[in-house]
Amino acid sequence: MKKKTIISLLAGAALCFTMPSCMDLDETVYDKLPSDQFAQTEVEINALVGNAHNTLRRYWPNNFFYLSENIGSMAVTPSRRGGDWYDGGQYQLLYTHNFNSQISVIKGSWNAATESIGTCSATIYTLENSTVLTEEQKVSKIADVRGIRAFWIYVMMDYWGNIPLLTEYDPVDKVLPSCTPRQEVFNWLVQELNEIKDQCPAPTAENYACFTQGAAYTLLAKLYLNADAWGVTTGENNYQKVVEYCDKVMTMGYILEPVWKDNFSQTNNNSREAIFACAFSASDTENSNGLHFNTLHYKDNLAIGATFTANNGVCAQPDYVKLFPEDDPRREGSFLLGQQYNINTGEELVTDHGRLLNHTVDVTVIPTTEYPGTNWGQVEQEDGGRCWKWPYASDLTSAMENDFHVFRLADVYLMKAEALLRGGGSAAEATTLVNAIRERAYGNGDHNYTTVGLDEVQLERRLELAWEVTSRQDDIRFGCYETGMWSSVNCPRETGEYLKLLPISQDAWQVNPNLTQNPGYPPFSN
Amino acid sequence: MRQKKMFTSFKHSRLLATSVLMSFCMTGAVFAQRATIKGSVVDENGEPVIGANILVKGTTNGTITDINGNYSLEVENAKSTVLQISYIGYNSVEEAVKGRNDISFKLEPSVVNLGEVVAIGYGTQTRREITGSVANVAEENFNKGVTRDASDLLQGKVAGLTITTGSGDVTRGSQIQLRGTSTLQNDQGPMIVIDGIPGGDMSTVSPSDIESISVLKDASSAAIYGSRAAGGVILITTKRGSGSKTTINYDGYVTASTAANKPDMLNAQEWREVNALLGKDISAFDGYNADTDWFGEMLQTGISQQHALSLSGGTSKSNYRASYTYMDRNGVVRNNYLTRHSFRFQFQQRAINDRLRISLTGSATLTDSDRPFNDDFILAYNMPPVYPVYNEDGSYFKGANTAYDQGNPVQNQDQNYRRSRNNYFYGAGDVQFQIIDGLTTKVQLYKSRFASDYSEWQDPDNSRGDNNNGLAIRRNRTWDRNLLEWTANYNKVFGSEEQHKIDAIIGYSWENNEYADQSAQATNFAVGTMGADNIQTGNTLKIGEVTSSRNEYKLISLFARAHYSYKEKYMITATVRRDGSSKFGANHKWGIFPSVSAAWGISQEDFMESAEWVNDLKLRAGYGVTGNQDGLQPYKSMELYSSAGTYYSNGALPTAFRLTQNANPDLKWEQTSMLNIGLDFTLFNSRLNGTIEWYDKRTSDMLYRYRVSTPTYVYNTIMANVGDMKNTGIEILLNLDVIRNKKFTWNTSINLAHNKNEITKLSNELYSTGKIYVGDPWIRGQSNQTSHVLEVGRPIGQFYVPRCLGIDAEGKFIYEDLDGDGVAGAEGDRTYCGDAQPDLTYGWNNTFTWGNWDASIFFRGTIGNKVLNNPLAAYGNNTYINGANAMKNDDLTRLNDISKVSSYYIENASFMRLDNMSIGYTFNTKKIDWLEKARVYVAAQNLFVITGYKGLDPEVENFRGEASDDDAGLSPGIEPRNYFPKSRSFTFGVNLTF
Repeated sequence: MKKKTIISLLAGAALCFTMPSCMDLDETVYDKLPSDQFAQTEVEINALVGNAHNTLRRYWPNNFFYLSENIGSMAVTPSRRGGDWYDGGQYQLLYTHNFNSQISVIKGSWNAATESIGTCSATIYTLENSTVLTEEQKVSKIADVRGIRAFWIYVMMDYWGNIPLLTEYDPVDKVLPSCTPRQEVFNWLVQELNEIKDQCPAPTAENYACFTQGAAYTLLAKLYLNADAWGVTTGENNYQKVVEYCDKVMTMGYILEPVWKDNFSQTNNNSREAIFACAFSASDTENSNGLHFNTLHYKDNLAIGATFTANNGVCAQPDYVKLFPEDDPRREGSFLLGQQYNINTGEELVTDHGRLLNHTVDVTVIPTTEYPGTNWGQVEQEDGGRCWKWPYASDLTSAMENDFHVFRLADVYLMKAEALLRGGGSAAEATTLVNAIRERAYGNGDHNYTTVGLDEVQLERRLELAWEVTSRQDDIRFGCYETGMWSSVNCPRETGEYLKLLPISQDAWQVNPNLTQNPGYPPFSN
Repeated sequence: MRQKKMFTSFKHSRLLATSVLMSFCMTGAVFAQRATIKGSVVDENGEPVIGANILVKGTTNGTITDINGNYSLEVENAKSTVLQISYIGYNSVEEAVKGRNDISFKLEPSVVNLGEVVAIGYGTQTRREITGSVANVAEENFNKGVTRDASDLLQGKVAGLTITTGSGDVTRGSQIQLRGTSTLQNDQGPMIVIDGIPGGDMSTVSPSDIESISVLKDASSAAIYGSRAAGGVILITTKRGSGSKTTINYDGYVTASTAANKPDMLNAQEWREVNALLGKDISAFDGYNADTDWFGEMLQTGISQQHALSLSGGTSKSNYRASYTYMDRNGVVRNNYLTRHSFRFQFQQRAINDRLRISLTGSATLTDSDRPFNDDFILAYNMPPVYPVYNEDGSYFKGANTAYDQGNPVQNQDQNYRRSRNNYFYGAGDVQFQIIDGLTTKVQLYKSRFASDYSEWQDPDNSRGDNNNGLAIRRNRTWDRNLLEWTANYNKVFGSEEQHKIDAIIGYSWENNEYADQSAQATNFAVGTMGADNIQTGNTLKIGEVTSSRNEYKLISLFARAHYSYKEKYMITATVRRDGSSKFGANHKWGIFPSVSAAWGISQEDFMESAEWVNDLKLRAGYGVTGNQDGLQPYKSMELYSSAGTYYSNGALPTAFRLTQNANPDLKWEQTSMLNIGLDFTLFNSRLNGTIEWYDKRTSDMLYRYRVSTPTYVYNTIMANVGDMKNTGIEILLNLDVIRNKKFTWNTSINLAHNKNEITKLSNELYSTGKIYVGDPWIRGQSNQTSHVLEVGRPIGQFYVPRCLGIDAEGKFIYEDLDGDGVAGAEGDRTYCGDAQPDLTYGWNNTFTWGNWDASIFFRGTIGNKVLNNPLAAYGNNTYINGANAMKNDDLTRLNDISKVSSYYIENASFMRLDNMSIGYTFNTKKIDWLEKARVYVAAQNLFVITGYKGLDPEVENFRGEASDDDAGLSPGIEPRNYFPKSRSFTFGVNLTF
């Protein structure tokens, strides 16, 4: 009896454990979609392509915005009285070109670029395996994402030169790439863009925010324009190629917007000057446009009538602002300067330090606040012109509606002018191009040049493209990389050809020991 | 589900089933032999023991001795019944009745009750039989005063169990850690088991319902809980009704709490003087003449109360207990409260000659709370003292609401809220059947639902809400849990002298956990008076502000344990558990967690007979493997897509989708193995009792979000199993009856624990990790500066900052230039500057009784731990003093440099706290027949702290946010600048039993 009882019990148990449901550990996923159940419709495919477009939101107004303008001659993030924004000295190191692999803006920018490349590659992998698209749709959508990826690889090649060039996505087999020399990255980009340049979406208003044919040709022009400065050989007449590609873009139906500010407004998605755009939305909290937080003073919102509290960060390098003639509308259109008033009461705004909130052009180190061993010191809270190019809405809170145009036609005009001058082309045509930009800015031809040289082109680029992530690249090309535009700080920049490449992020090496540090910098070590 | 399967099996062999049923009836008919047993209980001097408990083992049928020490008890079966006799301060005794009807007992006094039955995983054992490391704390040793849950009762009582109450926030739970940090992935502390239901929540048991708490400290005792036991296991046993009598019990107290400490800020005059001394221009503040103590304005004396009522009783066949507890706690910060209603009902009935037992338990815990915004304390640090709280017309002063880190915190407190209304319901039922003598089987079913309704409001009028012109959040979350468990237990005593004893259990458990939430947020409120109660008033709704989510995971287990003891001299226990979790990768869903432990009762040996001073001596050794998965969210092994905001498409904004994570199909169990050796001793006529234990605990394949290379991966982190960690330690417990006589007793108990923690591996062939920088102490102007490092060869909590040698004559910090680059105190000059883990933690308890009076005094503390005094670093400098307030300190006026996180602010935080003190008086109720017991007491908590630490309190939380946050617990030892002051409490309480 007893034995049988035990047997029956064990039998019952054994039966249970052999029943599948008793031992079933399959996961039911409710709020996400397993990869084998997604990208089954065109709408779902488009949602992935749209996400690849959105990677550009990590380009500006953070990461590369700080890198380009601080390392270049456009902007600076000074340490404020009390030590705000000293942040371990990283902005001082950027401004003075004392680069090291631990600077957090460098690490963050590397991460943004590489993750974006990974996102694009994974998207391409999904698109290639898709069975729901027509061949034509497939080619165009893949070219669009390949273009976004090419842009990111171009950005990395520009800043770091020698980079891990891994474009295959494999969900299972993971390889750790080593660095590909800049020349090979350049060659790859030229080939990639040539492959896709006519497959990309057409340069129409409907394809705003896509990587269009216009974007592909503009990027090709940028590659050839900078080839000399990058020290790569192309086997082509570089400047002729630039002119050729710019000409192509200029026939695609883009126009210089008659009103300059329309390129920056909250409705700048309507601009027909935009060639390659990063679209932001005030109603989207994913990687939103927080430019206002980065630059405005804690109390500048009161001058706009908005409720946000900004962080009093980046401002213009003083000598850069001084390049702007007082009567150039782009001066007021690019910088917030002067005493600020409460828009509702008309009262003068006063800082917490009891000083008038007057954004001076000059940014002046307060005596005795210098950090040990340098002339870098603290400046008053209110010093410096703030970014005022993309108008702030009075109901602005955390996210701006204004888009950022990575490439726009004015840039192409000036690129072509520069290439003509550098390549021995028509100076008259170059003059016409520069004057077109000036006339649009002033609203009349009174400020036109009779003839232009490279100096005028460089100046025009600075007047036209402030805050638009061109400063570092332009300074290298025009040979003024070692000259900051904040002479009064008396912090000379480090010199050395190697500084034209940034050090590769320490974080990147920690997880991929196959990476080699750029020449001139200490080799990686723990 | 399982029952159905059992049924099928019976169908398959109907004959067998019939015969089993017949056997039940037969055994009933043959063995039932009702009888009444009488006798007396005396103590070591032959004096009658009044109120000793007599209980039929395995039932709740029992009684207590009368004024002459006599008892009388009716039992079902005088042949097989075993009686258990227990009385506080004496060893419990077990005696088989064997048909007798007159049995008398003599009890031996002991500082620890070796005969006491202690909860272990899936069962009970007497202390004498235990082979693993199990600490048990019974009601009489619980912390007194205002307590919220079991962790408050246990704090400081168990060697190696660190319970940290870092803040005075009454809505915030304690952080519990057993034998050091054992994982990188969201250390959740020990698993809670309430009355045998694994994975419970402490807040669902009112402290007044708890009878005893067992802590399974080593892997050999915890391994029966397998994959969730790596952090240890805490078993909570609730009170049950007794069959002998009906009882009504009332427990009530009132508590007043004040802030134990607050930051020492400059007052208005001092602030002006310091600015004048430093030559700072503060003329902008000429119009302000207040002298506001901003911290003082935010604080209050919090009055709390608790009333607990319980009814219990039963017959020899059944018992019940029902209880209701009302708790209302008000914090030392004005807008901080917790109100809780706890209901608990238990009923148990026996049938078929006591062989069938059915139990039902229902519990409901309804909690309302308001959790302040800790960041309001940052405003209190910064607001200049010359600003008033209110303008002359009585309205809030709002002049600084747009300034950086400033704003009127009192206005924030009054207008903003973060309220929760939480409901935790559960029901459990079990059916236990004794198939034959010694063999029982049990099926247990459990269902719980925890629902949380959260409302957050940031008013547009104040500094927190004005950024968004008002912000409201409503969030509903639901956690469901279903559990089915089946066990079969066999125990038998045999041999001519009953020298052999075996006890075995096998079991199966199936559970699923489901989580769902929905959340809505709106901003831009033109009218703010309805707060979060009318969220549609908000004019702006962004993508990603209305969300919902749902996930589920399953855990399936098979487990077994066998225990054998020979004359209580040699004991061995082996367990094994096979756990499967749906969270892991397809190839690694199952893990096996074995353990074995043995004990040698040396004092039972013949050669020890002459050593009369030794009452009991036992050597134990055990080894086991446990796992960890609780910190791991479901679905981490899979490649998934989810929505990610919107993208622009020709004027429209459709929803974008993206990969959510790097999938890791190889995700598997994190394992912790532990070797434990212990010695238990009771000496000198049972006056001294103690335990010494040594352990070596090793965690391997640690789950963590490891950084990986992009490109090749899409994102730069992946959840993976890579690292290893080691904890070794020694624990000592001593318990001494210093004075033991009729008039006066004094018992003193000391526990000491030393633990050494070390990360031993962070890389493998797939993932390479050097240093991981963690810790975000935040000083204004010092963004991205970390305080800690995770590195092989270093413990968790390793500070890694520049070393400061002092302050020079010009008021500049002198840093060591370790990398020799000419710039001292920079990134390359960071070095190892102590760690946050203590070398020793201790608790020292004393209890006294004198006639009707009783008293206790309890100290606890740590030695050798470091704490980063971040408020001093952030607010002890004059950097911003002409626009913000500062803390008084010796360096305030001499500094001429910015503060940064350095060794200068890392302080020794060894401390001793007078944690708990109480005095009680028990009235003589012998002449009042309707009143059984009446006691009043006063208790004080956190009376003082002795420490060299200069900050607010040396005992800080391991992490600031939620346990589920990334890197929670990996940068312990930071006093945050938004620290919530601790409280000091005084309680008056009453216990009445009718």
